[in-house]
Amino acid sequence: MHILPLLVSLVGCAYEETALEHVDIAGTVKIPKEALNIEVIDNDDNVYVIEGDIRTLGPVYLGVFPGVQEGAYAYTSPETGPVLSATEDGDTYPYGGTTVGRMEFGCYEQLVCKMVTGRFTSFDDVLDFHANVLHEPILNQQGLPVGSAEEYRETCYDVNNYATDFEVDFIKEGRLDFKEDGDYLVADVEILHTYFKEGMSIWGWVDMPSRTFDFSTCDAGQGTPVNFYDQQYTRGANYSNLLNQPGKYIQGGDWVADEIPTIESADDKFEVVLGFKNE
Amino acid sequence: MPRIFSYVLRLFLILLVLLPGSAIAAVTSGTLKGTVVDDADTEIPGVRVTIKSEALMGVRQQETDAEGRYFFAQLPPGEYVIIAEFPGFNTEKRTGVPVNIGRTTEINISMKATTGEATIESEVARPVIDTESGNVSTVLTKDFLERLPAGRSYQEVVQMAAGVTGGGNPNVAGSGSSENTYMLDGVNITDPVTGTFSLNFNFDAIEQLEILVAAYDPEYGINLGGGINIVTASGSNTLKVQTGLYMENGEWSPKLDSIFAADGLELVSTDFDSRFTLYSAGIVVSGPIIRDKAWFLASYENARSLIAFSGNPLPRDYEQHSVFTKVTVQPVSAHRFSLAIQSDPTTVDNIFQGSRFIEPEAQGRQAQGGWLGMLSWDWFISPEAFVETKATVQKSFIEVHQVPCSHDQDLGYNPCSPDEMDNTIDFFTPARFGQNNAYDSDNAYVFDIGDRWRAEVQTKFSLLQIEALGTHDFKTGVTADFTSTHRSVGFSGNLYFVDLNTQYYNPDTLKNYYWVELSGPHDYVMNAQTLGFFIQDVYKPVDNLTLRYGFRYDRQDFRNDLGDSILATGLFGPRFSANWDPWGKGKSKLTGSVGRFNDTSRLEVADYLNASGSGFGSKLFLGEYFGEFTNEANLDYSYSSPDNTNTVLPGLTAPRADMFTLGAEQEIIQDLAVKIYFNGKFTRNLYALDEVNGVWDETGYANIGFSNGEFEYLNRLRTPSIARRDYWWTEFRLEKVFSNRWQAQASYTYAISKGSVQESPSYFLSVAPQLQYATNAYLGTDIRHDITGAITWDVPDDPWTTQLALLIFAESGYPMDQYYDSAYGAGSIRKFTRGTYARTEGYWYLSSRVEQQIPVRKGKLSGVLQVNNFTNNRSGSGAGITADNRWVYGRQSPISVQLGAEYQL
Repeated sequence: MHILPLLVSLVGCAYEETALEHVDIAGTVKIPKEALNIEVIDNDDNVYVIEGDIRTLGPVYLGVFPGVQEGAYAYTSPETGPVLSATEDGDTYPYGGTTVGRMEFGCYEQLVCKMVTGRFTSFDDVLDFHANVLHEPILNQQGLPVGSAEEYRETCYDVNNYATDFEVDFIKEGRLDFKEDGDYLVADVEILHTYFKEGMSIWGWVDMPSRTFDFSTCDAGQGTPVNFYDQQYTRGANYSNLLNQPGKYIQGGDWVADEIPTIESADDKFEVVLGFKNE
Repeated sequence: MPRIFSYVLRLFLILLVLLPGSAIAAVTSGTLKGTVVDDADTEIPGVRVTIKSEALMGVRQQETDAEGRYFFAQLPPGEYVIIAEFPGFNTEKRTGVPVNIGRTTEINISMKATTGEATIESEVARPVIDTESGNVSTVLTKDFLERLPAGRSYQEVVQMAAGVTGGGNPNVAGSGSSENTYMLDGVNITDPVTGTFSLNFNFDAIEQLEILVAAYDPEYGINLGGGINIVTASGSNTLKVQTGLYMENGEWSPKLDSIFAADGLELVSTDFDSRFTLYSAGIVVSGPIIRDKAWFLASYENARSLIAFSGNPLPRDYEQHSVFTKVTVQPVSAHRFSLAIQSDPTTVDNIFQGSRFIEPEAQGRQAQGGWLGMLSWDWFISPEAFVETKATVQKSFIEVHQVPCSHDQDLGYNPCSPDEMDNTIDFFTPARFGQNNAYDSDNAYVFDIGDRWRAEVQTKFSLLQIEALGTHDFKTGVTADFTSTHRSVGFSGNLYFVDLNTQYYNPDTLKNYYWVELSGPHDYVMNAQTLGFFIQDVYKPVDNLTLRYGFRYDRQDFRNDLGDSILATGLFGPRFSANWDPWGKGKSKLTGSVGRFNDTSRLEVADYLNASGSGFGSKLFLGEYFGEFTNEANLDYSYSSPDNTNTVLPGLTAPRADMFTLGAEQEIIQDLAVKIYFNGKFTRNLYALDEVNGVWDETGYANIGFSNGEFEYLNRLRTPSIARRDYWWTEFRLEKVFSNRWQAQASYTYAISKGSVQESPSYFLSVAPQLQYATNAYLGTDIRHDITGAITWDVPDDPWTTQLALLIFAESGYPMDQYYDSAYGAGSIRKFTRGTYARTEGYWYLSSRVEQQIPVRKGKLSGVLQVNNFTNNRSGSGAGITADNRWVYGRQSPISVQLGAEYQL
């Protein structure tokens, strides 16, 4: 029976991949609260000033780049490879990256490219934001304002084949991405499976909404199709070269990294501050 | 004994050197043991114990040892008679003793002292608990199989077992349908390419069927899924004939099948033709060639079905011939040989049942089948020492191509042109294959012609009943197999069309089209060698405690189309089981087991790593709306090389599953046991792909960048830790062996699953590291509640016996899995939940069977009436979107009636 301890130890063995060229790095991203002060305009051209509402915060894109450069844009930007065409930016060739919040389909055509995950706590929260902050209530398939969270939920379950609220990624009660810390909004970030080079830089920006509450990093014509009753449209999707050619997507009002950490070791904890407002 | 060890060791070494290097073996026999005591419960040594059976050549005889014990191993499954004789005692005869595969039957005999000569005969109480086994398995005997109101195929009755869900390719204990191991008389018959079953088998030639959900004995080399172990009959000293004819029709049933409204779960009626007709006929002849020396069994079965799925205008036309012959020879009592040959040529027309928009001339035909030759040798060195050796060669093939043309238009198939001969296949006319449900789809089928080979040798040495602080049963064995596939794939005419609609699935919005020109048929060969080794001991320190432990090692080496080794993995699988009969009466068991199971994989995985990749270079052309095909491109849009861009991460481990079982069994009344099992299965490091060039958003749904600046699908085969599955399930079973004219088997399983199963490489996920689980699969086992049950009852009045049977399947729950697929457009990944559409609603399936025996002068004649799914309550599987935006589901099991006639001599 001496074989027993050996058997137990063998069962306990776990396999880890050792030949991966990737590393995981972790840190924080900080955005000044000032970024939450925006102006929106409704369909009747009424202008509303929104201050300090975290629900207006767009997706944050973070990339791991060989280095950064000055002068190409008003903000510090990643170094690029050769510029091959006068109308195209050079490519940054990112080693890796991630987002904090991401574009998600909000279950109604009206919300295509207007919904960011990690910003809302409930269906009611979404309804309230659009009705009382943006002054553009969410309309259902019949063109009527969505009357209740339950109606919203049922539509979501139907159109996305959801079975539980857990699958609804834009509702994260108690799991919002950012927390307030003094004058900043702060979020923990993990960048998984990035290539590692000593001295590589972490750079990024937050895509803030335009006055019509659109996000320049999202293409409403892309994404999977929706076939729902007599409606056909696409769900929207972010552009896939956001980190390769960020200059194409950074617009006025977006906040860009101005404190850019470099990574010498995979164990380094980084802090990147998106402290520059692009005008 | 040392001499035996030396001999066997040399035999193993020779095999190891000679063999190219599987790892699958199974148990095909049972064990009979017991203790003989007198009136005072004192063990009697020297009692002559003789066993007989129709399934056994000759008789086996031995004398009880000093503790009054007898022990017969390596017995063919069947019903046995035990005779115990000792001077001064009545002769005791026990009848109706069951021996089942992989089971130990314990029959204790009490002898009475007498001065005269008398034989006392009694039928034994059939054991319902095997107190020594740690395996979680179900054995279905021939008698029970024949009484079940289920389909006449082993694949259908497999679903009777607790822990099994899914269809013909079942999911066992949360595993994928490609993760099971199929065995015929102990040899591996799993399809070497897909990991699913490779042959269909004559139902009436099956003696017993064992479904292994968890096989903790290392001698079972099952993979991540379950084991389906078919053991055939061998014949007997009596000439026997069994023949039957069956017809089943489900076309008159209410057609509530096929369509779900897009906005809900409601079933609505359909005008689709739900063709559902099945026929089968079979005969099994067996008997002696030389009494107790040589037996034969010959079997033939023909099965045809015409079933239309999803409103397809033509039914799927399936016709199969199965032949199985077996000769068993035992020239002397120490050696038994058997030679078996099996073949199952099959044609399936109109295989493309996924869309009702496929025109008859665009339909596909699948020819499949193959042959199998098996040679086995059992060498009985002594009652406690024997060697089993089996050698197999199997060829299977699958040929998929267009339906050959026919001038007989009654068939409704592809019409021949006036100048074409019957059965011509047009590989040359440019094909049009409408995707996304486009209407223009003629002459477009992909041809895929493949041969698959498996050659396997296995040998196993058993040394039983060794006394050393208790008793030990040692077994060790080696299995080696070689698999190969030769495949030729192409597109008729090398062209297919893809419609470009401005609105998804809306053909009215056709604006343009593009076509892809491919580089032509792709032909290649690839192979794999696998070597498995195991050693195990069954240790009984005391009579009521059985400890089973050991390990197995399996190693596989896959070679690509260039013959280069591309994937080589190996894994130790230690296994341990403790089984305790607290009261030592054979009516209770507490069991606990733990073990590691590995995946010996399949050629389909390595196929992804062939040097030539898919083998097709492709050019993309843009054209105008395709009213008429002109073959004039106005733009050569892009070109992709046929070279493979997939790589493999070096040093991969084999996927594995660590499993535990805790169980309790109790015979609550005579012949009826309740069994409760709690199991956990943790499958890790499944094969998956990651796209090494992509940079992903926080959840892994969408690309936000590419390391080399372009979207290139640079995939790499990995076995990442996120490609995993956790599966917990609790089983309650009720088992009643046949007695008092009735038998029953029922189970309720509650399961929780999380993670993924591995499917064919086309479903492999481009794994984004942000995902908690790499979830990419059809997880049929994520059904929470699963009930299976069957009960049979013989209404007396011989010879006019009426057999009644009822069967139920019931499932409910909802899918937890999520499915990630490449999205249209920007190369993002979309999330898409899978599962039955009516996921919150369960279904049940009830069938009944009445068999009426009719007295005849000789033999047994009976008529059968079987009503399947008589509540008409089962939704089918298979989904697609119609042009009018409705989900279409094909009904697989409508209400149907089967009529049959059977005769046994």
